[in-house]
Amino acid sequence: MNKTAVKRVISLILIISFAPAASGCWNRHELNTLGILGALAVDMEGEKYKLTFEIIKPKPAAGSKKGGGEKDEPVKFIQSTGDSLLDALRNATLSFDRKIFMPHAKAYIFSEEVARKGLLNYIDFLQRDHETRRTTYILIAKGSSAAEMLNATGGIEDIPSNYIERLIEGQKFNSKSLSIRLLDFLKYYYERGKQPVIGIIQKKEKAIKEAGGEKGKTEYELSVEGAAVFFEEKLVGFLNGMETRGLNFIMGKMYSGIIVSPSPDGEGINSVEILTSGSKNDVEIKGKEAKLKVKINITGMLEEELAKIGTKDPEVIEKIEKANSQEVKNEIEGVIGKVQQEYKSDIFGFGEVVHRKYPGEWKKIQKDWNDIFSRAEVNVEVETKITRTGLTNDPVNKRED
Amino acid sequence: MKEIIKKIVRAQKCNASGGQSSKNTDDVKVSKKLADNKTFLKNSFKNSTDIIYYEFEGYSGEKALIVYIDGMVDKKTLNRDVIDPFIAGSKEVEFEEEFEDSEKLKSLIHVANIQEARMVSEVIDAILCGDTAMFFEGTNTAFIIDSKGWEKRAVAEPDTEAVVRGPREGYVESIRVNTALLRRKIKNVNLVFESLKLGRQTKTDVAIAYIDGIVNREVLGEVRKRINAIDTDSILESGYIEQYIEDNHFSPLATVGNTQKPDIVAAKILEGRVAIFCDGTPHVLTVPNLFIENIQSAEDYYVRPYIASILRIIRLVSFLISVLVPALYVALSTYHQEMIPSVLLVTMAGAREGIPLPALAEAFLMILMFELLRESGTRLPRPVGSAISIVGALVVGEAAVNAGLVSAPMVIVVAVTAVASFIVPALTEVMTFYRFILLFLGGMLGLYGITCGVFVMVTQAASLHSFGVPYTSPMSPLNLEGMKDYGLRFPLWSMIKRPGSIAKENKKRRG
Amino acid sequence: MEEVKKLSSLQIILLIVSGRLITVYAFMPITNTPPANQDMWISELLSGIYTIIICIPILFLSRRFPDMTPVEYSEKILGKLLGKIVGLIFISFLSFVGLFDLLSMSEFLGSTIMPETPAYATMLFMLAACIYTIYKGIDVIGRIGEIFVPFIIFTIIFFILLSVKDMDFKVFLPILADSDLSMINYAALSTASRFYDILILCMAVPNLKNKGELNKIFFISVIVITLLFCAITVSVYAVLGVKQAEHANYPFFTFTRQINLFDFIQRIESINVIAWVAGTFVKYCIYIYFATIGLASILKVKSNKYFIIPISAVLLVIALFTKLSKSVVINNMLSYKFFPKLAFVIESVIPLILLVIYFFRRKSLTCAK
Repeated sequence: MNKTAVKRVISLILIISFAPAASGCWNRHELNTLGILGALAVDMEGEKYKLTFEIIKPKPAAGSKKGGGEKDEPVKFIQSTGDSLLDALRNATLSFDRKIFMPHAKAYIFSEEVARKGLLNYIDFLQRDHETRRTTYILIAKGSSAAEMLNATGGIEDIPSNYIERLIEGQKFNSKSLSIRLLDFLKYYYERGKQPVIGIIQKKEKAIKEAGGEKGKTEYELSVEGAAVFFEEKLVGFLNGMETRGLNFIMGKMYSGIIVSPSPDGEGINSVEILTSGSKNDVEIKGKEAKLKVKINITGMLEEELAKIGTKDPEVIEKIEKANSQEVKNEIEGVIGKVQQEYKSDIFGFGEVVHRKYPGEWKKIQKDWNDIFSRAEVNVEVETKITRTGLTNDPVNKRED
Repeated sequence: MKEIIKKIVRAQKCNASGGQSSKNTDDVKVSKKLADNKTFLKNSFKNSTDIIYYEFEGYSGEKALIVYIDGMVDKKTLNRDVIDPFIAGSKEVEFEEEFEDSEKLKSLIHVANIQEARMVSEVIDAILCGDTAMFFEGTNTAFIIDSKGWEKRAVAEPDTEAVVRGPREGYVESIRVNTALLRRKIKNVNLVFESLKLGRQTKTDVAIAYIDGIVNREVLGEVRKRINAIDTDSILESGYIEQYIEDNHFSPLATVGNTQKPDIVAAKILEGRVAIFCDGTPHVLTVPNLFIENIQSAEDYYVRPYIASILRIIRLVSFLISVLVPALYVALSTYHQEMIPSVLLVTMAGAREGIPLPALAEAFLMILMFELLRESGTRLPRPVGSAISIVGALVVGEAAVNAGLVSAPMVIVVAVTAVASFIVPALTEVMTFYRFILLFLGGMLGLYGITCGVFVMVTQAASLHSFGVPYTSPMSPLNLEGMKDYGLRFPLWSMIKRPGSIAKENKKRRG
Repeated sequence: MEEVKKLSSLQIILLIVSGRLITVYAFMPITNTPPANQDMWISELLSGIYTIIICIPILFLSRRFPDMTPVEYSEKILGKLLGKIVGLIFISFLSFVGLFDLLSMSEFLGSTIMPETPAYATMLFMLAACIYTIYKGIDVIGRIGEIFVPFIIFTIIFFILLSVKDMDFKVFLPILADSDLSMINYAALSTASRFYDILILCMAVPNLKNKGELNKIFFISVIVITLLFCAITVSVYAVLGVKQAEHANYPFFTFTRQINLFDFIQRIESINVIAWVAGTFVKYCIYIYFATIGLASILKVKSNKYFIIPISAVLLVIALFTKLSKSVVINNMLSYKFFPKLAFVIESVIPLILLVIYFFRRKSLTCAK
């Protein structure tokens, strides 16, 4: 009995010694002390980093009173400068009443200027910090500073970062854009045989003004069409929408898209919606010369037929398939050619194919690969299979007269 | 605190027999004279007015005295089966001045259970139990006539253990009725009841029930040892017994189970356990009690396996929910906000704008409020009941949120906790205890604190033994046959053996 | 001597698996072991075979002395003084592992989810929970293992399954092209040496229910660990790529951060942390329990309970007040440069020496019996 009493007293003392721990709670952040970051825009101002933050304002509860008629902005924009990314981040607390909370950030936008200088200066913090995540999308702002991208809401979402996130996710509907996360960028960067590409974001003026908008005020919307080509860590150039689609074809990231090709017999165009697309890349090395081979298999659905040909005929379908393949082949050859000549950077991953196929050779030519790539011969084969024609068989304007 | 510990220690140490009569009457024998007996009894009972002493005479003047407690005897039995036959039969029987042989007298009383007593102490004990004592002039043998009959509650469905399918009988406060209800379930010569009296002042009847040949002998021996070691003034409810015989007094988890339904007791005895009945309460104890039994209910075995398994899993999950959700809410919203989806986070942050208290204090207050409501709800007289529920819902829910005292998500969290805590009634006290501890740990150190707390709680549960059987079996130590009745309830035809941790002999149930 | 509590085979397997798995769960030192490239999964598979070879001496000895722990039979084989020294070496290794657990707890938590909490707070809580558990004895630790370790293994499988769609298995081509067999062997040997849990298995032999199943337990543990390791390594490489895994301090944790399914199941790495914390508690409990058992047998004391708090206090002081509390130091210690070599000596070389001496002295020992 005495032993148990002594034990209990000791354990009581030990438990009480935890009381100081209770007074601390060092890591505690109440919800109303956080500034939830939606998107981060990085610019350079002289030698200093200028960061623009989009902080999402917490939505008040339904029952609380709100002065009627006031249009409440769902976000707030903060800017701060500093000697490094992290420094600028912390400097924001000097003028903003909340600590910036990064895990929910949806996109990091870097300006063109910053990207041309080399992205790695900015990325170490994003990898190292425990709050930032590698699943955040990164984008390059084309044509204007990154901060300006945050201010545009052209869609249904009223929070700009949600709007941007949905735009990027729309890549699976229209493969003229890229959805690259920080994780993917790092993966591509570390692979010796492939250079990184990143999606871009641009600001365009809206064609239709919103009803009820103020007159004279220009409204903007964002577009993610295109891609940014990198060599190592530096931005070297851009691709337009069609070229990006070619890139997606080669990388096997083509989820859906519409190929418009001229009709074989009549005048007009037909559109094929791509259901699946698979690519096989191959490289043949002869000495210091390489031959790139790309083979694409597409299955598609005929969605639009504007010529007067009859699409009930299998031969006509075959001709449409050929026209489609030709169109895709042009796109792919176009993008490879452009990258070879202008940018000399293997963003397609042919180097990795060499590494896997000729491991011994790869060790020798690894350093010069991008030159070899830019001189290489290109051979593209595309095969399309149109499996369905939708709900009608003959096009609308085919009448028996 | 010290006194409580002392009492417990004393209860464990002392060896005492069951109830004792007061010292004076130990050696006194029944006298041949009625008057002496009557005077002696009157003094022993301290002239208590509910003891009736009725003297009557037979046909030819033979004197007899019956002593009984008014309200505890069935007067019809007395009138019809004792007094009447005696007066009628005394016509034929020859009475002598002094009787040596009491057989003739016995034949006059037409009752199913008559015992003879020569010591006054036995007589007094019998009277106190509700029997009638009959004395005859001229003989020093007293007859103890079984005439128990008093008001008791009818056998009805227990409030706290309602079922949808299954028998609705529940135990009552009389131990004889209870043991009979059990007998009706198990018509087997091997069902044994061992009776004893506990409590120095109350001399409560206690019965141990088990099935000879199935019961775990070690558990039975342990039960006998511990019950015999109880030495206290009063045993008013089986809860008293429970607290004296349980393995670990400081553990929040109960190692002794209780139930009010005969079919549950029957099922448990058939698995090798021991049941303890206590007069005066409908709650019957069953030992050993494992953790999983809190989650099981009798209804699980009467319905089909799918629904039974789903209900079991719901109960397990709701136990976890009720214990963990407030702590998790506080931990996630103050330490790990990145785990909350973005959209929800924005709404939650908005809901917490302007709330004066930090999340931990808010959660603590709300749960305290809920406990107050629950307790007052149990004690309410029925007309006022609905008023309290309206007050509770309105005040706590709406007005507090509107006044900005608590945030709406917190009300939802507490509501979910509340609903979940009623699904497993056996564990309510455990859940409250654990909930508060985990809440503080979560508020201090987030998920790490909760993990530490859960680790210690699981350790404590794993180290418990209920009368020698590990508390967390059949999960650990792993017993595959027992696992068929754990989370999912396998079909009855597949549960061939009894749970191996408890039943050591006669293991097969079927086949 | 106190009544010997028994562990079932399943419990000891789970305890050993958890001990080994916990290091991988957090640190994955194999990503930095040369050659740190896409062929490491081959090293993993090979390491299973090397583990079996490395552990043969100590297993053999434990089968000869089924009622003694290595501390006890080293005393018997080498004589009192030398035996006690060897026993002390074993015990200090076990305590060192416990110290390492303490350190890695504060480092992991501090780097990932709770950076501002000071080390002494996390360590104090861990010690409180673990000391309570160790007091309860080995059978309770076995039961805790039975409850928590399946949960840990389930989280591993859960995470792997959730990120299948992000996996890119082309990372593993070309196989065996960038590394030669000697480097793969070195990595395999290095990984195999980390199986110092064999020491735990041998110290637990007196507590086993079925001592004859010792070999079977060992084989099952090795197979389970090798398979789980391989699965973890393959997944981490497939999702993160080789270089990112090499650069990451906590590859598996970084891997779980990437899980993003249906836009709803995301940011669940705290589950990783919880599972790891529970596993580390179990590991610390086992190692310190057996360290105290060893101390009790060296000092000929009946119960090991007197040593629990002193050892933990000493480890706490060492953890807080020396230079060891830096994550860089911990990572370097854990990497191939230091730990496997130390473990190799303790788990293979010393038992080998013991075995040789045992064979020489066998006759005198059996006569003395």
